[in-house]
Amino acid sequence: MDIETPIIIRHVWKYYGKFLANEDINMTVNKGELVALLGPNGAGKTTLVKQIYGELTPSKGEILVLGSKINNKVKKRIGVIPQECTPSGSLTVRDNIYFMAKIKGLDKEKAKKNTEELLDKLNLRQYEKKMTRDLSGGLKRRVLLAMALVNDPEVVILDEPTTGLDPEARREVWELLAELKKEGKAMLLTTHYLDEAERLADRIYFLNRRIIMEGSPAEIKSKFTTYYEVIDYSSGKTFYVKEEEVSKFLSELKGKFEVRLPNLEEIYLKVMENA
Amino acid sequence: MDLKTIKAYIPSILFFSLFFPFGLLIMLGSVTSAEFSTYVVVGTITFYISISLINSVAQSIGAEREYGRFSLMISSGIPVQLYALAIAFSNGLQTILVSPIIILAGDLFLRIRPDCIPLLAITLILSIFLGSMIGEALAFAIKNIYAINQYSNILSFTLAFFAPVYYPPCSVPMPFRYLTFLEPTTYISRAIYYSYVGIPKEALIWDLGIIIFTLVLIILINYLHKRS
Repeated sequence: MDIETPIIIRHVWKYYGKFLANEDINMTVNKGELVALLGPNGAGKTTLVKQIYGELTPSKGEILVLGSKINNKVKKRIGVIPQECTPSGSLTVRDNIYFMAKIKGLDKEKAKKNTEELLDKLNLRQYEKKMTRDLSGGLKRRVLLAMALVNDPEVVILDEPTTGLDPEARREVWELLAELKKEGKAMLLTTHYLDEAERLADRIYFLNRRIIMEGSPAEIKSKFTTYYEVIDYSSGKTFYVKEEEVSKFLSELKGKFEVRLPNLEEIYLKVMENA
Repeated sequence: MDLKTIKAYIPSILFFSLFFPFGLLIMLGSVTSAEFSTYVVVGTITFYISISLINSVAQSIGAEREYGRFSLMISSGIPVQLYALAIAFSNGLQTILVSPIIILAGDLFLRIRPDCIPLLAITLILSIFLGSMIGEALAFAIKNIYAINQYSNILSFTLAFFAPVYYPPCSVPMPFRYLTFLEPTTYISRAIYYSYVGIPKEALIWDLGIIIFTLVLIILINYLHKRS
């Protein structure tokens, strides 16, 4: 069954006792789309993601994954990298991937075939017999990605997949995610790196317990185009100036200056400030 | 998958499965009078169940949760209870292998032979299951892995040395003797002891205690799962 919107979240609330972690969340992830969930630490991103893949249950509301409420059958059709997860250090790279294929219900032949393909696709062939505890952080993340993809999932959920990685390793993961997007998978990514969301996501949800803003990076930027960022090089100060006041403001500056549209980071800070 | 990880710990498994029980039996056997030799063997088996199972199951589950692999398994459609049981089973396997070694060593070094082997086998299986459940309950009751590591060590050593494991409960003065009946290792060691000396009725009564402890722990673990 071809489902155009593999993840649908309707009016989801999540309480831990009296503490409200998610408030009336509504969101969707469409086929072939990478959606980023952005928010500061403690914003409820991981809580929401855990409800999507079934580790937690919503206090109120409904989550549909691949057309039905999350269950073990649906779980075999998705791929997940939970937050701060590491592959089993006492198993080789190959075993980690192969056993995950078996756990996901693939038969022996298919599990072997997919493991071989992913070892090549993710450039893990030279490490296949190494214990994963001996790998670098970036390589461990690549093994996790292979484990998440071994069942050829229709939905991929990645909870902060690049946290703690060095810039080179982050870039490697980005390239892999960009490739997956081309394959038409529905992907949900949580991150607190704005550059990551801006670079990879088709749509972004700003989350701070509730959804504060939603849209494509371009749409979000365009909502803030009434403000320009003016950097005065003579004083080293940065000013945010309304569109209609820019000419007047610039005429008063002495020396060199730069005018540009605010980037996503500045928008994020403004949005979170007012949340 | 968990069984395959055992390969990575072969040196420690060999040491703790062979050399350590041999050393413990010879050392304790040499300082104990012959009439108490049965207690040395029974105590060492109970000691192994307590130390090896409670510690390893609690700490393995704690580590799996800390490193996100519980989440990974749940997201892959494996029920959390099943995964915890798989960990408990792979850890229990070592104890299953060590127990016959201790029994053979007891025969070899101390000339102590079990009278009722089928009953001993039943008792050992029940005890290993109980030890695993204690470890699992501890791992789910405490969230912090460092606390799990500390308290599993304290609990397992308490249950091995502050319970009548190497001596009969009647040696414990009143009213402390009543407290020993709150310790599951008392039931394990008594059931093993009566299997060794060939009093099946007594052994089965203590086995019943092990079963009751296990059922209570299963209920507790289910509650802890739901709470988390």
